[in-house]
Amino acid sequence: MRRAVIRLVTFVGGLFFLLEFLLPERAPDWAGGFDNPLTPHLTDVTNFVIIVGTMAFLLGPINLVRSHVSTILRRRKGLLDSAAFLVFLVLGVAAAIQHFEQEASLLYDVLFYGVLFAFGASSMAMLSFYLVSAAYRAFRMSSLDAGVMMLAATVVLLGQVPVGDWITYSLPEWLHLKTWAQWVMDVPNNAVQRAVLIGACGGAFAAGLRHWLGLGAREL
Amino acid sequence: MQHADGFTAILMAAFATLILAFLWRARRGRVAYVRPIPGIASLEEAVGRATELGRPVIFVMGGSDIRDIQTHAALSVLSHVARLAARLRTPFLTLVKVANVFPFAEEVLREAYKAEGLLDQFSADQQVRFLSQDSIVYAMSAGRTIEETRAGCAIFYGTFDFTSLLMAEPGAQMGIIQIAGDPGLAQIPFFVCTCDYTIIGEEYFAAGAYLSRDPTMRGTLVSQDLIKVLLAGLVLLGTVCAQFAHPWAQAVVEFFMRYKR
Repeated sequence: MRRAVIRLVTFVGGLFFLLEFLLPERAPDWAGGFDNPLTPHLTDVTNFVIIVGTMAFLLGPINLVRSHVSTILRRRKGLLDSAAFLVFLVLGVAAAIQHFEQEASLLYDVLFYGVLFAFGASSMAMLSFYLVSAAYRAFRMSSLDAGVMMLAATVVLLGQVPVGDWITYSLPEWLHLKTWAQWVMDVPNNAVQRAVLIGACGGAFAAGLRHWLGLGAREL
Repeated sequence: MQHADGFTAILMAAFATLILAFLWRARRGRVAYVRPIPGIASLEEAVGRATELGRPVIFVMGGSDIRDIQTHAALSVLSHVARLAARLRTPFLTLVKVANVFPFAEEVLREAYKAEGLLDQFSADQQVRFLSQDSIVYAMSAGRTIEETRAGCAIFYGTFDFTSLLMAEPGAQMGIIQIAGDPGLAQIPFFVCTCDYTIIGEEYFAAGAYLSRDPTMRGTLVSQDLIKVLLAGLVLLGTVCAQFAHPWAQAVVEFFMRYKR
């Protein structure tokens, strides 16, 4: 019964959005010249979907709190981390309320600009180290494919920096690394990206149709 | 509001007809061969390896919300992997980034354990974790969870952003099996560098039908390939027409240029 209701709601909702999209904004004169009857309701239906989605918003933080409280109560590994999370959750909520009520809030400034921003910047700094590590793995020429990728990457990298210009400036323009880098980006890279996107669009359409008709969403 | 014009409507109708025709054909018992997709086929290998090692399987959901088809495709894969892990009695943990996906992920896991007759072993609080909607916090927490739990394998499935490397690199350094699926293009290079298998493009959306073992569903995958052939044919037609100065050829090119974004 529950699955039948889910499938029915999915089908009716999908039908509304599909018909709203397929029907023209205004029918041609020979067909009566009437306005799309579904368009005026589109905003209301979209708002309804957003409101229903918002109801689930609290479920995430509630799960976090339950998980960390459970860790503390059962004295599992990571007890101190969980306690720190709960303390900062309370402080964060208090700071947000204080910031909402008054413009200048020391607690808010310390937590968000002093702590959160600094943590974010540190994490992004780690990304550069990870990039080097991942690039090293990618550039190991373990196969012909990896070799081609390394060659293309070398050309593109050198073509984007002044040293690339310096290496080939005395050669004819068609031999400049910048020219080759641009060609790699514009031709093979662009063609492959479009091919992947075309495939993904077809896949998304087929998956959407399967879900809309209740053929694929058997896990829900 | 945006509405379809005649050409878009005709294309959509053609695609839908193709898919439904192959579905009908498959139901009549004429099931086409579906080529193995290494990334999807290796899910069992990854869970099996984690079972042998006695370590948990970590499933990291992407950042799209429940209204996106990408999320539904990810939930299909989550369901399959969770059932596999439950069957093998392997600890399983799902990490969720978007709050409105959380109840769906929990329900999918519950259904998976129920289908395997192991509902009593399912613990929603411990097995489905919402981490954060903030990209950096989510990525750092996911990476840390993979390290801390000493995961046996990690599966990243969904739409990921610039933080993909932050969550995939710790697992790569640990040497565990990692599989990633992302329908976009921007993060694919990072996943290729850090994961053993990467599921891209139409394979991402085909996974649900491919894993369902239902020959009818698998039959629809053929229609996906035909849609691709049809679109490639249109690209070829536009390319050929662009080479000629004949008014008809130019009219075709101008027609296609209207759809170029």
